[in-house]
Amino acid sequence: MRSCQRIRLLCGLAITLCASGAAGSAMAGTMDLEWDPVPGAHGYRVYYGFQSGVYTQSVNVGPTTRTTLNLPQDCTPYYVAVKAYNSAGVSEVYSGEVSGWARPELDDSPQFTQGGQFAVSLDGANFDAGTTLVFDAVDAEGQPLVRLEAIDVVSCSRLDALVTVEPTAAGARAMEIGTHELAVVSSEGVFGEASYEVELEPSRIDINQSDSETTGHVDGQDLVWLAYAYGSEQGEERFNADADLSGDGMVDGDDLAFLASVYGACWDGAQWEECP
Amino acid sequence: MSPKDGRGRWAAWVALAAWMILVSVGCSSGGGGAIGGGGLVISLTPDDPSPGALTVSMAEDSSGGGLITVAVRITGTDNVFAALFKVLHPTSGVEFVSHSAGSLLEGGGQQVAYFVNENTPGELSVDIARLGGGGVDATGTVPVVLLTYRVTAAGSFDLAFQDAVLLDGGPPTPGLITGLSWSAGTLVAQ
Repeated sequence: MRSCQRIRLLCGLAITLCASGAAGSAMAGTMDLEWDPVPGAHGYRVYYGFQSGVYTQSVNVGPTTRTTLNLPQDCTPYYVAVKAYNSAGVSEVYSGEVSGWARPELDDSPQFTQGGQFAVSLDGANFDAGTTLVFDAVDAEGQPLVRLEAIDVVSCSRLDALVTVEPTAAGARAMEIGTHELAVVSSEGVFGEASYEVELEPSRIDINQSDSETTGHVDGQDLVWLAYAYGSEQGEERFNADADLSGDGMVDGDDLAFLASVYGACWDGAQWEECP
Repeated sequence: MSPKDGRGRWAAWVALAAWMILVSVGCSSGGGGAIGGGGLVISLTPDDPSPGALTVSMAEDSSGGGLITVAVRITGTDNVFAALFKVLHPTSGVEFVSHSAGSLLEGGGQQVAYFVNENTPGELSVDIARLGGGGVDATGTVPVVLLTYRVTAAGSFDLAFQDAVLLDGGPPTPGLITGLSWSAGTLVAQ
C-alpha cells in the first residue's frame, strides 16, 4: 500500500516520494519511504518536521532509495522531503513533500471466541478518522469467517469495533482457533500489523444438538457424528462443520481430542461439568 | 512296633494326605473359572451361549489373578460402524478395571475411538466408533470390546446392557441397526 506523489525538480530530475505500508517492516511509530533514483546522486538526505516546509530533523540514508523513518510522536502528521547529494554537495532543491501519520498500531491483541458477535474497545496509536481493521479470514470457498460489522474511531488512540466470528448457525464453518494476523489500516492505506486470538467455544463440543435428549451432554451421539466425518475436509461429502471444532477445515485428531477432554460431561450454561 | 506306635504313624499319614489335598485344591485352576481374591474361582455364565445372527452377547475371554475379562461380541450383523451401550454391574463385590480393543471395528486397519467410562458407580458407559465412517461386517461372532473386572467376593453378579444401540455406516449417514437382541451374563465367584 502506497500513497505516492511524483514531483519533477527544476533541473529536470524527478523524485517520487511515497509513504508506504510495506509488509516487511511494520513497526509502530514508523513511516516507510521510497523514491526514484536521481542520476549521479551519491546519496540522499531525508528531511522531516511537523509543519509543511519546515523540516526540523534530517537523516542521511546514503545511496539507498528507500528507508524507514522512526517517528517518535504519535497522532500527529509529519511532513517529509528528500534531497540528493553528490561530491559537489547537497541539492538546493527539495523533492516534493509528502505528509502523513506514523503507521497505526494496536497495543493488544483482541480476544474472540468462536460463534458470536463482539464489541471491543482497542487501544493503540495513529488512528485517523478513516482507520479500519482488516481480518482477512475466509474459508475454502472464500466466505469470511471474521467480519468487521462496524467501527468507530473514538480518538487517535482508541477505536471501538463490532466483530462477528463464525459460526453463527448450526452447520456453518467455524473460524479456526489460534492466533491470526490483523491489519490496522489508515485512511491513506498505511497499515500496521497486529494479531488477534480466537478460542474454542466449549459448548460446540456438544456436536449433535439435533437430539433433545442428549443436548448439553457429550456422549456417544457426539462421537458418532465426529467419527463419521473423521478425516474429511471442507467440500467433501462427509465433512461436518459442527464436528470441525478447531475450525481448521478438517475433522481430525484435534477435534477428537476436544471431544475426549470433556467426554461424559454436562453443560451447566457456562462450562462442562460432571453430570449430576 | 507296638500298637500305640502304629496308630500314631497312621494319624500322621492321614494328616499329610489331608494337607496335600488342601494344597492341591488351593492351587488348581480348572477350565471355566479362575482363582480370584481370597481363593475365589471366577467365571462368566452367558445369558446366550450360542448367539444367532443380529445378537450382541457376552462370553468369558480370559481369567486369572483375580480378574476376569468379558468379551462383548456381535454375531451375524452387517455394516457395523459404532456401538453405544452401558453395562451395569453390582457395585459391591465387582469392580471394573479396564478395557481393551476388540477386533471387529478394527477391521481393515481403520482407527477406532473407544470411550469407556464409569462416571456413575456400577454403570459403565461404552461408546465405540470407527473413525472415518464406513461399517464392517461381523461374520460369525466377533468381539467389539473386552471389559476386565475384578471380583472380590463370592456370589453371583449380574451384568446387564442398557441404552444399547449399534449404528451402521450408512450411506448416506449412520443409522440404527434394528432387530438386534442383547444378551449379557452373570459373573460367578465361588
